[in-house]
This record gives sequence, C-alpha cells and structure tokens, in this order.
Amino acid sequence: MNQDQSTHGSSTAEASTAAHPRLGADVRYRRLAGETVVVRQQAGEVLVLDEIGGRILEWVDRGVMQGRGLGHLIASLQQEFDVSSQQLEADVREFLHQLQDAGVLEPRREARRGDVEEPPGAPQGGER
Amino acid sequence: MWSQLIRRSWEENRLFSVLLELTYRCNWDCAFCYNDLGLRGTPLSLGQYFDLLDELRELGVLNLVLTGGEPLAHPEFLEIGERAREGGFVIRLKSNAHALRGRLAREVKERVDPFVVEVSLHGATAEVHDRQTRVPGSFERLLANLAELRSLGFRLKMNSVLTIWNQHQIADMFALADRLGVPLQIEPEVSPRDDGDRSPLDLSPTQEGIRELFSIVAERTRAAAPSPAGRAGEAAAGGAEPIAEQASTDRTEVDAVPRKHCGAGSSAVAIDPFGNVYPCVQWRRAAGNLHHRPLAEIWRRSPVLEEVRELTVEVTRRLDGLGADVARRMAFCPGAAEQAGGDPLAVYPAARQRVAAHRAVERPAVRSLPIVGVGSAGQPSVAKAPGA
Repeated sequence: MNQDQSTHGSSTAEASTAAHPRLGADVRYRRLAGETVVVRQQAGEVLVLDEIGGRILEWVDRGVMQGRGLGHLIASLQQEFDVSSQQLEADVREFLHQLQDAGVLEPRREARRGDVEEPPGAPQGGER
Repeated sequence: MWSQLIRRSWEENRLFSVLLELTYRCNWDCAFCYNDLGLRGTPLSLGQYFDLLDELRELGVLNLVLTGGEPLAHPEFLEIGERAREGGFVIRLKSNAHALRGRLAREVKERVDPFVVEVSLHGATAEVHDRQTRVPGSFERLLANLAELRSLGFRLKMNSVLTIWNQHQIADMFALADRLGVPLQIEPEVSPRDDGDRSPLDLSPTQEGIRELFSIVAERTRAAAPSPAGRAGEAAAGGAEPIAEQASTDRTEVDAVPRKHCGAGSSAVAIDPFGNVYPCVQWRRAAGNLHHRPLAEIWRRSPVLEEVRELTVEVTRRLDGLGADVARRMAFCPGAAEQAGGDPLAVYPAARQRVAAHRAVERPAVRSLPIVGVGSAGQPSVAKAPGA
C-alpha cells in the first residue's frame, strides 16, 4: 500500500475530515463483475475493492456523503448488515482512512463563503 | 489481482478495453504502416464520439486507447480526449509525438490527462529513424519533444517495430531509451497492411535480428530481476499492484488462461475512424458499424464476435496440445494468423520464427541448427505444427 499521504489518527477533527473526502484527481475506477477496479494514475497502481467498498467509493465520488452526511451511508448499509450502527460507522471511517492512506481519496477543501455547494448525488466527473 | 480481473472479463464477455482509431491521417509516412489508407466511409462525428464514450462508460469500459494514424491529427482530438477524461477512463495515447509540444502538449496534459503516452521510436540515430518515418528531422524532433513531455509530467513509453533497417541498432535503441529514462518495447515482427497488402513485410527483420532482440531482452530482464530479498520485501508490502505495463489487452498480461487465449471480442474491441467495430486491432473482421447500430447491440448480438469468442477458446485448446513452453514462446495471435493465411488457428511464419529465435537464445549451443521449418510449404494448424 502506498503511504504517500499522511496517516490518520482517531481524533474527532481528523475523523470529520475523513468523512467528507473526495476522489483523488488522478483516480479512475469502474465496477467489474461485482468488484471495483481503482487505478491511481500517478502512482501507476491498481487496487480492487469488494462490493461494499466499491459502493462506498461511488458514494464519495457522487458527493452523496457531502450532501447527506455519513449517517445516510450508515443507515443504508445497516439495512444489509446485522451490526450496531456504532460498529458500522467505525468500520466505514476506518475504510475511508485506508482509502486516504492509499491515495485514492483526498480531503475536500473547506467550503468558503460564496462557494456553491454541490447538490447531493451530483457526479464529479470534472474532478477526476 | 489485475490479471485475474482481466481473465474474468474475458471469460464473462465484459467489455473492459476499447481502442479507438480516431483517424488514419498522419504527419509521418512510415514505410511499414499497417493502416488501410484506402478504406473509405463516413467518419464518426464529434457527437457520435461523445455518445460512444457515454455508452462505453455505461458498459463498464475502463481502458481506452486513443490511436490512429496519428490521433492528434484528428481535428477534434482535444474535445474527444477531454470527454474521455471526464468519463473516468484510463487513457493510453498512442502518438508519434511529432506535434506533441508547446501549447498542444500542455493542453493534452490539462484536458486529456492520459495515463501514458506511447510514442514511436524507429532507430537510435536520425539516419535510421528518419528513413523509416520518411520525415527528415523527425528523430531530433522526437527527442526534443520527449524531453518537453517529461518536464510536463507525462508518463512515457516508447514502442518500436523491428525491421531490416533498424535491427543493427537494437542495443543502441535500448541504450537511448535508458538515457531518456523511458521504457522501450520492440515488436519483433512487421504486420501486413490491413487491406491485405503484404508489401510492408519486405522490411521484416531477419531471423538473426529477432534472435538478437530476444537475447538482449532476456539479458536485460535478468539484469533487472530483483534479488530474492527484494522479491520477499515486495511480497510483504502487499497492497496496490503496479499497472504501468498492464493497461493493455495484450496476451502478455496474463500468464495462465483457463479457457480463452486472449480477450479479442471478449473484453476488448477496436473501432476504426468510420465506425467499423473489430474484435481487436489485429483481428480485422468487421463485427458491425456504429453508424447502423450502437456498440452495446453489436457487443451482445454480433455473430462475428460470437464466433471470435469461440475461436479464442479453440486456440487455447490447440496451443495446450503443443505444450506450455511452445505456446509461451510463440506468442500466437489469431488475428495475425488470419491476416497471414486466412485461418485464425494456423501457425504463421512469424510465430514459428519467434519459437526458433527463443530456442536459439535459450540454447545457444544449438544456435546454428535449423530448429523450426521456417519457410516450409503450407500453414499447418496449431495442433499439427512440426517442431513447434
């Protein structure tokens, strides 16, 4: 795993950043037979995510978490998994940290006054 | 991991890689060019390319090769490339790089952002390179443009075709590539033109030239191989896998294929400037035309693609009968076989030459012996190839 991004601790501030990341500008991905192939162009690396990992990545890319928050994603996943919401949230946050460590996600810059918020679900093709 | 995914896309007929020949126009005039420059038709419009790219994304295509001719000679290359970047494709741009400088280079970087630019090198000196491109000054300009492209942050690769004209410069070409810091891949055979014209084969390298190429490549591979300790370290690191040499649909991507020999028509297609769809850039059986039907329909219903998929299974079966070593050395291509003699299952002279050259390199003691009957009459099928 490439470690070219800073690693993350468990402080609230850091967790908050990880919860609203965006796709790295050099990252490309596609679903393929239930898995998701992720290519980091600059590093020339490929990663493969499982079904759930791919769905989370897609949510991030489509800005779903930014628009509706991590809670929406957790609630959606909880319908499928028999675990507590606390455990699910911890797992998702850990996964997002891993994706950031791997250079797949990057922190979204803080919104400034006058910035236009992206609508929920809007694809971010231009950012990739 | 990557190769397993590619294999699955072959087996499950999932379109994953598409090669677009945007135009056959070119600012070089290579003597051995395989493009059918006499092919006529209605070029795909910008709107059709946009629709196609949307469709490819819907179909799950990740790898997109933009080539030609010279793709930058397409008047709307930047618009097509930009749309491809926005569509999230991993783009390989195959260009001679003659025009890739200055403002255009910067625009390609910003708007298209290809994963890699693959450029053509045809000799280690201006005399040899320019003789093949038939454009005086093309060698010096290539070197200057490569330096500029590196400074702009492009990932680069050089491709070459071994010919009778440059086979004495193999070592020098690799030395040049090393100095430039750009990987070089040399194809050991010249292809006939896509219209069947075999005149490019007049420039084919000699058997000795192919042997020398394989020998130099083998030596470089040995020299570059990591130590056992290094391999253990890489294995322990785990995680991401490098793809610099894997973003193609080449046979070399996959070490062991359970059923299909390659992804031609199973995970990949090639599309010419006039919308004709082929199983592969090398296998020029038209499976349909985008002016008449969308790609998804061609992909699902074309009898040509169905037959090609079955043929790739049959190729594997026949090559298995020859043994793994022969199959590996032969780098058999059913498209090249069909081009050479009309039968995609028949061993063709270039495949036999590869086997002979590999064996000569691997067993230098018998180097002077005729190992394979190159030049023998007829084209025996894969299963019956004498000595292969």
